[in-house]
Amino acid sequence: MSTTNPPHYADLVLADLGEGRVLVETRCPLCGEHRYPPRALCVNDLTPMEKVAVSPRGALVEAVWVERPPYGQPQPFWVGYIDMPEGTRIFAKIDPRGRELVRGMAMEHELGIVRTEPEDVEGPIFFPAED
Amino acid sequence: MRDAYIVGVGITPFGKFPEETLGSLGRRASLDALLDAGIGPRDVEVISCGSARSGILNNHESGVGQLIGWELGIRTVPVYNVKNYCASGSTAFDVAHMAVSGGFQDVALVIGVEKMSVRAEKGRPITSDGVEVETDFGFTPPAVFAAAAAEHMSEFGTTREQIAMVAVKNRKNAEHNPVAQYRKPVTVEQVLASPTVAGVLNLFDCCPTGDGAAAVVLMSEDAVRRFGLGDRAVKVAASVLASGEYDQIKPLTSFHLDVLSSRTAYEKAGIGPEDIDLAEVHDAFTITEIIHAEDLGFVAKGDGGRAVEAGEFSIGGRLPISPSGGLLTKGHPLGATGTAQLVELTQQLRGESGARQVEGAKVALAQLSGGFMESDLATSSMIILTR
Repeated sequence: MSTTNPPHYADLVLADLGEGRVLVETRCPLCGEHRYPPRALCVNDLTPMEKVAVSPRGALVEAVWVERPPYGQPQPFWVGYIDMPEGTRIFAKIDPRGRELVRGMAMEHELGIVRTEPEDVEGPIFFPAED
Repeated sequence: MRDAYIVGVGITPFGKFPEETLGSLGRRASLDALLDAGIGPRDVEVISCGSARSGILNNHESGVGQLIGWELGIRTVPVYNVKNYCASGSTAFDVAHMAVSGGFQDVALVIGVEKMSVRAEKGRPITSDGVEVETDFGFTPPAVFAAAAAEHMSEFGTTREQIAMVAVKNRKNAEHNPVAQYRKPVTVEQVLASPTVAGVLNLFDCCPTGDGAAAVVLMSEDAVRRFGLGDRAVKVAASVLASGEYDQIKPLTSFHLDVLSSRTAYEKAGIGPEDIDLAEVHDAFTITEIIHAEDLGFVAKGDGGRAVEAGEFSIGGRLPISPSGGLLTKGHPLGATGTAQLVELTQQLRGESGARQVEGAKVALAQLSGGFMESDLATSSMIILTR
């Protein structure tokens, strides 16, 4: 955790659920609503939500090339929205891996360094699924 | 509930002024508003002040309203300081409107001020409140609205040139606005040739940051009569504020919160979007003016680009939008923008806008968004003025 900036908020969406750190969202055990970023209480019934792993695969909504990177990002990068089958939408960095990014294409994710200033921050990086 | 009226307005130039401070900017706009209303500091019964980022930018977190009141010699009155993202000035107005229309005070001074040309300490982006996780992952407003532009083009056939025409239109308006930050006209070609920022959005598609202040004097009907200001008064027909819906999955081409809050405002004012003669909207990016025009009901969803191209939103067109030059070209010192919209619309309704006058203006709408929270806007402000 940084002592010069507020805590890395990225840590709120990463958790070890028993098999190493993964990207997490929260699910209501009562109504089944999923929310990302994680929330403490369900919006529908105020039930304490439980952390669950984000599905491994989602669909690309839109991808954007950021030519003028903001503070924390020394280089231009791809970023965008991915919709997950459980009804959440995730904003994350994208690695095209040489593929053309097309709306609706299947995307998978892994954890990597997503920010480097003032220090490295780990987060999800989405990439086109193989099949 | 009592009716409330704007009776005085004041605004500083918007731009980069290293020698100015929050106090000097706010003092100048407020003094002009008081003079415009023909009243003195001792007549003010409440101050409501919006300044979104005075802490992180200027090391002055609390008490900006007191600072400006002190500059003017306004003492002992209640002061409300508002921090509500880009809508801080509009929210400050909403607070004052509640105070006056609710019968608590008769004369309110509403100030919006921001000084962005200096930053006290380098650090996390000022747009990160509410989207801290996303900011760690590369969130930046240009990226968000570039995604919206891409979807609007894909879904509705809006062209890149139509999007650029918003900047051309607003620069043309700003040419006639002496306080605007950028007043030199531009062409579509120049907008398209300006440096890429994110996606399809280039530099001229994005609003500048800067320094500035704007103020209005708000009075009850009793006070308007007492001070003899009936011929200067512009009525507040509605002032509505809302926070986000926070739905997870929704179209990028609509800010649905604005759809809800605008309908509430129309209902309060007893009108529909067809009755609006002119509007100032949150055109922080060219595409957002198009989306706002659609969400506010000025044009069917998807037809905003074509309407810009057809001149419908130009001065002289069916429904002029951003006659001041908008955030895009007048500038966007965050806290000042909401009150600056009200200054522009009040002057328009009074017939005082000179070369950028919208003829026959009787009903005006000021729309301003603010911040982000869970993929939604954090704030939506709608203010309807009539004369």
